[in-house]
Amino acid sequence: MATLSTQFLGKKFKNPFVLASGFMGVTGLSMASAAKHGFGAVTIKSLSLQPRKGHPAPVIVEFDRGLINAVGLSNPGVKEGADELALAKKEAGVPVFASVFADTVEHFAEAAKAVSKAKPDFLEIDVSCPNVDNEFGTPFACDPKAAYDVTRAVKKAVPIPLSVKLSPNVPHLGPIARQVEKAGADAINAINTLKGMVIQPEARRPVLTNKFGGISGPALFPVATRCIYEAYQSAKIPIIGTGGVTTGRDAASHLMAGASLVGIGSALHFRGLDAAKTIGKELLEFMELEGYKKVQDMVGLAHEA
Amino acid sequence: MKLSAAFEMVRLLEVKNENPSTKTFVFEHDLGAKPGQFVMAWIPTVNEKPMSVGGDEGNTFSLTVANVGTFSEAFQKLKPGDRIGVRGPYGRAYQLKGKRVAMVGGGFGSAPLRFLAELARKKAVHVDFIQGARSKDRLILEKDIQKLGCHLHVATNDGSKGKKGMVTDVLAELLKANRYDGVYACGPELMMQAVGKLCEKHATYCEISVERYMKCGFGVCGQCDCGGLLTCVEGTVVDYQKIKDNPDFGRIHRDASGQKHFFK
Repeated sequence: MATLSTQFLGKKFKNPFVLASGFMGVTGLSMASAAKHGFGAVTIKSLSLQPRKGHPAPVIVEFDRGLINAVGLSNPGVKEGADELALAKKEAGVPVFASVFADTVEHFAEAAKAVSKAKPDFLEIDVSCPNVDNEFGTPFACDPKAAYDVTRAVKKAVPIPLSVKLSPNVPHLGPIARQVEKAGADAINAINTLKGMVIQPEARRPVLTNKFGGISGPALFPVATRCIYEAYQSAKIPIIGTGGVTTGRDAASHLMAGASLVGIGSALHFRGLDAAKTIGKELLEFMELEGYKKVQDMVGLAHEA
Repeated sequence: MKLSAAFEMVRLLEVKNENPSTKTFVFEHDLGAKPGQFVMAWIPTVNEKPMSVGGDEGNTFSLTVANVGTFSEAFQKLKPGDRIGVRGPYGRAYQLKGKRVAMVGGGFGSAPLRFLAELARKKAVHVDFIQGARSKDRLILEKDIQKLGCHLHVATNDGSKGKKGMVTDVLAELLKANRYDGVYACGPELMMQAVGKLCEKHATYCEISVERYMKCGFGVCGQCDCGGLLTCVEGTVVDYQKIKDNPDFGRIHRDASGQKHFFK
């Protein structure tokens, strides 16, 4: 009998599906609801030191192969956010990822300290949001040295296992993955959204008020697979593969590219609120059919000669 | 292929005045909405907002908009021929039950309920429609509701029309005298909570429309969470029995950042 239950950095997961940051995770009870709907772990929507309203609407729309969003990192700030994390820890019954972002290395460390009070199981740092260049400059994940510095500072600041969310908006992911590992990251999350634009032709303008946005969903999927593959080649720390997974076979692809866990977000639109359950059922069927007993048995298989 | 979360640019056909500050806008578009559902409406360069559907005639649908802010002000300036973006319909619709129902509309909440009343009357369901507003000039759609053959009961806070008092005062009396198969409410949350409690006392099925600040409208962003309920897809219409013990219901709502605020 195949099983979806797995382990990641010493913690047990009922399945490899992680609710990706920015999806459903605004409140503790919403994260608990995602867990009830089948997610093996949940991530809070990224928090900053101060509350942020985000970009003016429209902030998210669909196009024919995915979603594009520029929510603009809205969040209630680390203080209220830590309360939501604590509530998720109490109610979700699955591992909880905190997620923080900031404008400077120092503020990253400060935000990480603030959320650590809620005792999340893991901490993710969002160094790769493509929608806030105007305010924040080039994302940390787009420069190997900046990625090293921010990882190192957060790792020094808090004792929580650290995952660094990388960006596909770079020519080569490998060097960045290596620097993040060297700086002490415990895991890599590959990837954040891909910078894009959708125009409404009848309105003669970009649909998003921010004009640019992050592409997720099926259009992102092969990009994510490639990035996971590159990260796996370049670093030894485990990878959370995130980007466009909407089916069990997609999940298997990410595992085979080198992911140990699979992030899911836009599939909540393409497959519904029970996306994790549905994709899990499909992955299990695939595993039975192909003779894999455990999720771990598939990790990195695509790298074998 | 129609994408459920992409905009369609739809043309405004007609504008009807409802009261000094409220208009109904009829758009040319086969929306396929049911009463209680909403759309995300986008006026390019202005904003995008969730709006409940006021009617759906197959080839057209309507939105009733009160002039309450910068977005609705931009709406009031639209002229026939102008286009706006819509995506949807989204959300859970009202589930019409039985042969005798009551509807309780507070303020602009009467607009989606008029749409439900239209469906009810087509099915020859008896409708007691209780409409409440601060004052007479804030009432909307009275004539349309009467034209449908509903029994209209009006309550105003200042007594300028109908009963002086709250819609719940009227509902309490009606519930004593009648047995309803369902009570449907739309309005301020604390009003709907009071309606739900009254219905519970009379063991009557009750649906209300619970909304929170929305961004996506189709169940991915999580902004509209109400104590674990994703109001844009699991609501906005909910069975009162399923929401009454929700920790946020009647207590907490959140703003664009996700910061908490308490209902007063």
